[in-house]
Amino acid sequence: MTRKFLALLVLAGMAIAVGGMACNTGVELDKSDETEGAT
Amino acid sequence: MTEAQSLSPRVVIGGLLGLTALIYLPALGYGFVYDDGWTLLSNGFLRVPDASLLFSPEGADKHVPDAFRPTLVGLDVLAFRLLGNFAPGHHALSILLHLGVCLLLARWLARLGAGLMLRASTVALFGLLAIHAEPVTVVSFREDLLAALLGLGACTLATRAITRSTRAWAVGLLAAGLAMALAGGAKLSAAALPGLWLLAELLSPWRPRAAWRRIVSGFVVLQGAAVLSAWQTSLVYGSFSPYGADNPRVLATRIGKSPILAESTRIHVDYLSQMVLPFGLSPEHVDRGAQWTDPTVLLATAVLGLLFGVGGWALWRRRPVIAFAVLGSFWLALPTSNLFGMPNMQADRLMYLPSLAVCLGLAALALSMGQRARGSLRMAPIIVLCIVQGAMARAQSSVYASNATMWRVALERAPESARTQAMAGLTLLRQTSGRELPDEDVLGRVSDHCDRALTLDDRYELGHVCHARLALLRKDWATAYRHFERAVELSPDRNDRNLAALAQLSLDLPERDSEERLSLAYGHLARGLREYPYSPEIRVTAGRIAHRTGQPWLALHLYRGARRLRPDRWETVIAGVELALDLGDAAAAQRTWLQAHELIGKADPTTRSAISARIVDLNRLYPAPLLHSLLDPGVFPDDP
Repeated sequence: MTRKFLALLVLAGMAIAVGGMACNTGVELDKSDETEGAT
Repeated sequence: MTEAQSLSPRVVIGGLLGLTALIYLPALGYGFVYDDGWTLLSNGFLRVPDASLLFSPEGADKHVPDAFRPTLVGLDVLAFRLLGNFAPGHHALSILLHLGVCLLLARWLARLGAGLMLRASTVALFGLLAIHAEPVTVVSFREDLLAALLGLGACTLATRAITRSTRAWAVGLLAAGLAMALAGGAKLSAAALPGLWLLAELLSPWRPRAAWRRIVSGFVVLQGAAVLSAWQTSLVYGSFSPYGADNPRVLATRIGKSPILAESTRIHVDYLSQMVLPFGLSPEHVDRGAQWTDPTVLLATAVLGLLFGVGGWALWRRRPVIAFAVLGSFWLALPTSNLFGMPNMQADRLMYLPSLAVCLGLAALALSMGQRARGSLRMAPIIVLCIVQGAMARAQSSVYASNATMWRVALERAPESARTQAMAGLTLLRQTSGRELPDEDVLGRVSDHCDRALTLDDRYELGHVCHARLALLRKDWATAYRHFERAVELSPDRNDRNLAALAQLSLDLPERDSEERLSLAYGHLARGLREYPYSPEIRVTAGRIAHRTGQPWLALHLYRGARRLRPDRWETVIAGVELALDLGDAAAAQRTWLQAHELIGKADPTTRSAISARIVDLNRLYPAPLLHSLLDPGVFPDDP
């Protein structure tokens, strides 16, 4: 049962990783290390 | 033994925590974004803390960031001592806090008697919920995580205490009260957690109810402790609100409470829908009012009314899990429901605490949906829900990888926000500015963003800051001065950089004589140093102006102060080295240059070459061994 559960976790993790990559917006790097407080 | 009973709870919860950690692991490679600069990097208070300021009006007068959150400030001070500016370390801390909250949620539910399946499903959903990406990924939003951790710790301790013997009960409640007081000191909204605890104990969905006397005493201790945080806020700000009655950033002060509450009904239906189907998450939302007669407001009010009715019905019909989830969610959402004025009407992070109860409800619903299925398919609804939430959490987390990414996404999802437009302009300026002037096409785009920000809200200071910085690039000092001045008029706080800019610009105003310029500059600096004594920027600017106007020892004192407040800035070191060179002290300049060699390596090559050449020239003209120095042992004696 433990093995089934761990296998489920691994599968879920892979599904999440694939889904996350599919929905990723793309990352741009900051050229400056300053951050502007905005909230 | 059922299949569920054959699983060890530790393996289950541990595995789920591991999965949650993996989802957020890429955040270790992200930088600092959003408010991280103001509350962490440029917050000199973290380097020279004075705890007494967090319990007196001086904290507000001196604009100590988050002065009404002493627990958070304490954590930030410790974190900076241990981690400095090491971003991966801070992100790791945020992830650990989130895992800690998940663990304590599991512990509390276990103490309340909830079965393993419901506990695991709730923890899985809470850990992977996409709306949590913002507080887990943005370092400066860890107040939500800290408040939840300490608050849940208090709830767990209190639940344990009320079933123990008299002495253990008293000690346990004391510990719970302390934890709850600290939770309120991390974020005021934690003050709603005692109410959730009371609801859990009164409904007691999974075990016999504890003695009434014990429950009442537990609630009194927890709520009394939570109220302490409101008392601390009133000590610093003179009221229970840290934002002030006339704060222009709180939209309710401009348009009244009713339109805000009307819009708030839509906001909360949005939150709920995003917790079920995680679409529409955004780093930025538009603050606006609405009419109660608006069809979408009427619909949202009806939905919320129906849900509340379900909670009431569940209470009456003795369906404690449903009652706990629904009424608990409403209760936890109350502090951030815009009943009390806030500068942000809607933000993903505001749902961190309320989602504790929502996740329980959704987990129970998903498990009941799967009950009619056979075998492993019983778990299908909750598994699918967790996978969808986890995938979107992963994607949403990457939005906060950098300021450039975050504001680009904010521009796509909330283009009608004045803050988004202004920040988009400022970010574009930072991405493209260096030693050369960006081309006109880029400057045109920046100008459009600045104009749009002012059109959307001419009383929001960032639109003026955007125009001011653009004018600086164009060397239009008068326009820059005018916009910075207006920004300072409009903004109730965070004016240190604006005042520093005004002071520098004062020296270059074309239509004033030199005496007037100096008087203006000193006026802005005096105000900046008085109101923002923990700002390294105002201090180094004051040093520059003292340096420029022939006051070297004052400049030295200010540069040293700026370096203490923010030792990671190469600009301060370069300023100190230039001062030593202007004083003719080649030895001090060279010693400081060597001591801060690694930091100076971050400066642009042109600046490094110019200073290096000056040191060489001065050594050639007036050679002096390192032992002979006016500034011994260097410009910054506190440096290692």
